[in-house]
Amino acid sequence: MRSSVDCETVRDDLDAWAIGALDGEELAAVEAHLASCAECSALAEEAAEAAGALALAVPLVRAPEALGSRILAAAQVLEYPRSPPRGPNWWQAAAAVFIVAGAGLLAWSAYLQAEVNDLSGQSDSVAAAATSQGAELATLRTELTLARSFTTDLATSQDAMMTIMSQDDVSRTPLDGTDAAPDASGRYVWSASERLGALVATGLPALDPGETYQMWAVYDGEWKPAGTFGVDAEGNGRLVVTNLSSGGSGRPVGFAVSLEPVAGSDRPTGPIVLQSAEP
Amino acid sequence: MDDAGPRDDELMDGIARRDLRAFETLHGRYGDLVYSVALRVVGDPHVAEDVTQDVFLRVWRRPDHFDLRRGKFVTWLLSVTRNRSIDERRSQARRLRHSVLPPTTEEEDILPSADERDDPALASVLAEERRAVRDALDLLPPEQKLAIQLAYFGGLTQQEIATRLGQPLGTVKTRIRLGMRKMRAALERREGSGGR
Repeated sequence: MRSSVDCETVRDDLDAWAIGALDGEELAAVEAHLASCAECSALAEEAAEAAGALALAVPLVRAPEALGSRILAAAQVLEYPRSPPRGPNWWQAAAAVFIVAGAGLLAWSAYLQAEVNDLSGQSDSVAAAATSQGAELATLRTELTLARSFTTDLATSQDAMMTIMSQDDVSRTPLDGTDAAPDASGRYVWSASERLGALVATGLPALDPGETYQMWAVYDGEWKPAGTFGVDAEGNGRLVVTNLSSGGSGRPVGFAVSLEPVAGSDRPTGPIVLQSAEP
Repeated sequence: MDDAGPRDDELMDGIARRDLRAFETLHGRYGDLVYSVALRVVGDPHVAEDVTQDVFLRVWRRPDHFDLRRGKFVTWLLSVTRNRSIDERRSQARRLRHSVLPPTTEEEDILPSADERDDPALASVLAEERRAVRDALDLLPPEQKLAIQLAYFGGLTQQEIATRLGQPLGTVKTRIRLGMRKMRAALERREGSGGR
């Protein structure tokens, strides 16, 4: 296959390509040419190596110590997938997401606490700046309260996950992405003896401000809200479910996740993004 | 490498064998550097932490993505970091509904010319290599350096840089081309003179 641009044009663009400055048709033309021209492809690798060296010019700062511990802890629990993540491996990786996210929030919470402590000290000693510092302090304290609540939630999530996974009676329900979220998939696990469930979802689209995902347990003729959750930058979401254990409705016949206003809804109002086979 | 110990490719072999100690050594060697690059691009310490974690966990999970024949490990690692950071910045921009990446306060000051801006405790990390890149960049006229850093660290395309700077697209293309060639020539001269 011959590309639409010649070698000379491509070589003029290789440095811009290497530092990520091409887009649209120019990018497509260069990459199509590189795929079919070994000589230009070798030059492109040289350009990429030089561009990569640019990163060495940044001033060095020390990464937070807790970050290193978090990364090593996550590596310990992460599976090494040699094949696409399916079945038990997928599930272990998903469980690791809980643990990593929990560790991150703990670190964030610790950071906020340090900020609050620091600002509290300053507020005590600098009376003149009390108004602005007081406002900043109040904001930080609010954030800290939120962080602590998230941290508690996630610590609960981890405990819940470990509890559920260790039960003999754990049932697993896969959820598939709908046309509204074709890349999404998920799994809901439930331990009847513990009356505890957890949903782990992946590949969900990013949320806009004011939106949330809401899980639903589908009973015969009734959709019962199971809780709301957000997603991270990779589209991963998780939810611990504790409110489906009793209610006189019997066993759910299926599960679903819909997109809802951030406060959640009494019944699904937005598109369904995940659903089990039965609803 | 400045510190004695296994070479990067030996550590990557260890990681491919699921040797957690090899991963720990590699992280100890490059953790601060990866975090520094991420922080420079995304500008937010918490996001930089997420990016750093993501980069290292990718290395742990998919060591086969690094191909020794295609260059130095550290260059590859930092390219992965840069690309992941730019993705993060773009997704932040999308969340904020900006069609173009918002400028960071550091953008005009991304590439320092002296080591004293480093955390002194880290100054020995790849000191020679980093000095060489900074020296090579210092040879460039400021407008060429700026165009390169807006693309590489700011994630802007040539067209976006032209708009940002109020310059014709052709001028920006020339600045990037000439600047990168001059920088590469300086680095090659140094390697040729046995400076590595």
